[in-house]
Amino acid sequence: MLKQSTISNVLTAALSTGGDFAEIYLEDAYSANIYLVSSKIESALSGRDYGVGIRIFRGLSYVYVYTNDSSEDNLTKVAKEAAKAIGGDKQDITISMMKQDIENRNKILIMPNTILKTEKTDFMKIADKYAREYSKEISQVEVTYAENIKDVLIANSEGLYITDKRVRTRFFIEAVAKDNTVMQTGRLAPGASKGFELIKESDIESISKEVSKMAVTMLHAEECPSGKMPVIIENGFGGVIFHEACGHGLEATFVAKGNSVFAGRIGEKVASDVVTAIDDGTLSNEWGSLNIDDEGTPTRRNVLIENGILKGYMIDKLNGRRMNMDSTGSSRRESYRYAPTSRMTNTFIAKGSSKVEDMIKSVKKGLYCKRMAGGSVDPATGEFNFALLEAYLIENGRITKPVRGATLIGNGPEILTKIEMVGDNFGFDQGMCGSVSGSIPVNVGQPAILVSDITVGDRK
Amino acid sequence: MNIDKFIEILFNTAKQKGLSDYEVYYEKSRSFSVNIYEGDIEEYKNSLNMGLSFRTLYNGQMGYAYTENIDEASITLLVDEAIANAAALERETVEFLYEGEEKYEDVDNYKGEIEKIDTDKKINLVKKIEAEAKKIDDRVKSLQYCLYKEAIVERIIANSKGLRLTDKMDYAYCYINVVVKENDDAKTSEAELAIDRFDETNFELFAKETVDEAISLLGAKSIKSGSYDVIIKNKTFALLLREMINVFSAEAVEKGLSMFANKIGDKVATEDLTIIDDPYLKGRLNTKAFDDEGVGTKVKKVIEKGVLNTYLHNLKTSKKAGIESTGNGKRNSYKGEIGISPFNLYIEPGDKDLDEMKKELNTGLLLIKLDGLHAGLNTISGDFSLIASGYYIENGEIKKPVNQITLAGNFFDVLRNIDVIGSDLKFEEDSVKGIGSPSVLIRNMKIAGE
Repeated sequence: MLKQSTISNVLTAALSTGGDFAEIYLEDAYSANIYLVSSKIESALSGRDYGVGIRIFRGLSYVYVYTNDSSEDNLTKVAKEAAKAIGGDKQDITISMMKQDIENRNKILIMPNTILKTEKTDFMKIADKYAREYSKEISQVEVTYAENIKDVLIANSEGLYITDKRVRTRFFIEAVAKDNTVMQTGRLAPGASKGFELIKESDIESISKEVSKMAVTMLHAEECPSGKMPVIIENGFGGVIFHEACGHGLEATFVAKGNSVFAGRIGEKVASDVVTAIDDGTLSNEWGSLNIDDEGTPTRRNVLIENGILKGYMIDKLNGRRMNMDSTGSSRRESYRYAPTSRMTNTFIAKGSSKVEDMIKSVKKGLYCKRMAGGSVDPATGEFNFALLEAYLIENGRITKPVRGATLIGNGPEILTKIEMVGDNFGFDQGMCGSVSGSIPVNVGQPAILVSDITVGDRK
Repeated sequence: MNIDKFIEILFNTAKQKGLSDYEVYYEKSRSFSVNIYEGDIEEYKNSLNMGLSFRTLYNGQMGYAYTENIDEASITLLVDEAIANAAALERETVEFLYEGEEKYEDVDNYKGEIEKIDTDKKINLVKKIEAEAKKIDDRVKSLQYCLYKEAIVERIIANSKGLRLTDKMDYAYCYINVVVKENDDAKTSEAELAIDRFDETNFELFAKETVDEAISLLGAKSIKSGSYDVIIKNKTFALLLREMINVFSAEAVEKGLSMFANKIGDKVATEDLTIIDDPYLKGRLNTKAFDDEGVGTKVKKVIEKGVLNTYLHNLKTSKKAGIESTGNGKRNSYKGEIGISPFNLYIEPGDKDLDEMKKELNTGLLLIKLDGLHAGLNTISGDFSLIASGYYIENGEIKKPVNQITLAGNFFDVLRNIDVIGSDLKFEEDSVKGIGSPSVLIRNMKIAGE
């Protein structure tokens, strides 16, 4: 890591022209992946990511530079180049740094790099065996194991000097069920801000079997009917709909320039009364959790929507300037290659009081979406689409048969107003979110929700 | 540390550990980008980046490790991790290193212009584009992005069999994302423009076309569900093809992940369809003389007049198939292993321009955007259900903008059902591959709307 005197010199060089704020972010990360397919270990990769990013603000503009060479000479040179780019006359800024300690909410029991690769490949083979045993129709199983240990150092001209160790572990199980003409996949991918204890605590047998069950069920499903209909979106990964269709629109990245449908609407009713939505980076050991964000600000519990009323956004330092608002500890980046910006952490619709059975009973003809696959959204318009991994038809208040090939399409803000019931069965699920500052780990979450109507698109 | 010195010490360390076959793949890039917002520099990025991959045969397996820190400590990490990774592997067919070829095609992909042009000139250029775009129409609300980006990338491949290859390329482009608004209706349109010669690039036209497209989508509405004849615009179809590109990979075929398995010599598409991978195309981002294994690249027709001709191979898959490598051994980056990827793969254009195609379509849809490719497309089965937007065409003329519809179908059916292939070939490119397509007319596609 960097000496305090080096940091001080580099920040001074960065502010040698008109910059009014300078920041250094150093990252030294070890990551390893192992991949199993056709019951064999097919790939094992590991390595070291290392680099330094320097950011300078001048009013609302910024300059970002990064390099792998962290010698003081090179960093000073790079900082001076950046200072030249931002231009202007030198401000009177003195830097006095104080190392800050933070409380680690994500305690690690077993550092993943202390476990032999053979122990990792053993559990992957067990998962493969269970997934294949479930049915003869399973034609392929893929298992991936991933670990990441990232040390970061963040310092800035306001005197911040802070370090953090971030450890994450995740595994993916994917099964393909196949008959003569059709292939269908099932997939689960649990992850956490934990070490190898994630694997030890997980019920590999039931997870593997559930993945195969998903694939086999969809293999025997009929094509989904299309049109507008009421839709129940189950808990856990169902939260991706809020993440994509509303969450991105609540990021200062889009709000600050007025490019979001939610811009300038704090205090307004944007969702039905039953909807409360939160982004919370403080939850212990969750996949999207952080002790501090990538600008060194401690993470918080940010209420975004409360009983249908828009309460707040997710804000980083730079967009905060544009919006005249403080950072909410939401600034994130994939790595030193990206300047950070406002992003989500663990984002969810809070628990309600309805029972899933009652939701199903209330639907005459509609869709029960047990698992979403993923989707995308245009934050400027809120228009989204989501593919379904596992879905069932509801007829006369009962689940009748599995259906496949459907996507949900619509407009995020509009859907928020159409949520009629919110369930009591809250759950989180894990994902990687790609946006301006790269791909970052996030949790999506919600209880089951009933939406009065969504357009269902399909192949029919 | 100097890279040549680093490789020398690394190779010595590997030798001392008793390793016999090892290789380094090194990438160094210098990039610069600037984003303009409301006339000011909003984002300015400059970077010097290095990454190095080490791979070695150990216990009959090829182990990989990478680093971004060219320091002493990384040498031990690379050798130890590569050995540990090799020990975990159970591949049936193992990669091998290549000693190189006598002669490679002469490919010059380094234009050298971006290094000669002043940074201020590049910044002023994007400022001008933003100002220009906002002047065109007062419904232009903002440009979410108005970006200039350039990079110079160098490669070194060196191994214990005496291979030592280097190359260098550069590129520059502009990217804009325009938001237009009328009442409560907001629409966006994005476009990218590759810059070969600064003086010969028509930036005004680029801004105008992008703004015009966004404006033309205002007031878009859904349409009735049903079966429609559709034209999918060139770059949009290229994106769909890009997502499906693995069907041509011999590796995917081997793993049972390609529907083209056992289909060589079979008719898999309409007779009018020919798909070519040409690594020598002038001015393209992925034009290269050798692949990431050091194998000389080749031009090949993967589909010729509707018939599947060949898969794309690297050394490993070609050895197993008992043929020569097609020179498509590629890495996604120095962090990854050798996989398979095309260079500049494209659908051979026909002779009708977009206006003639609209006439041929008569009544139907012209789709300019397909969203949700990551989620709405099953890259194995080819089934897709994607959000689409574009225009309703009547009597060969644009009638009204259309959105909030889904286009559903199957990629392999589409290949068989393409009725007309246009002349307007365009490429979608990233740092690994470029995929090109002209606009295509397909009959009887399922559209879900109202």
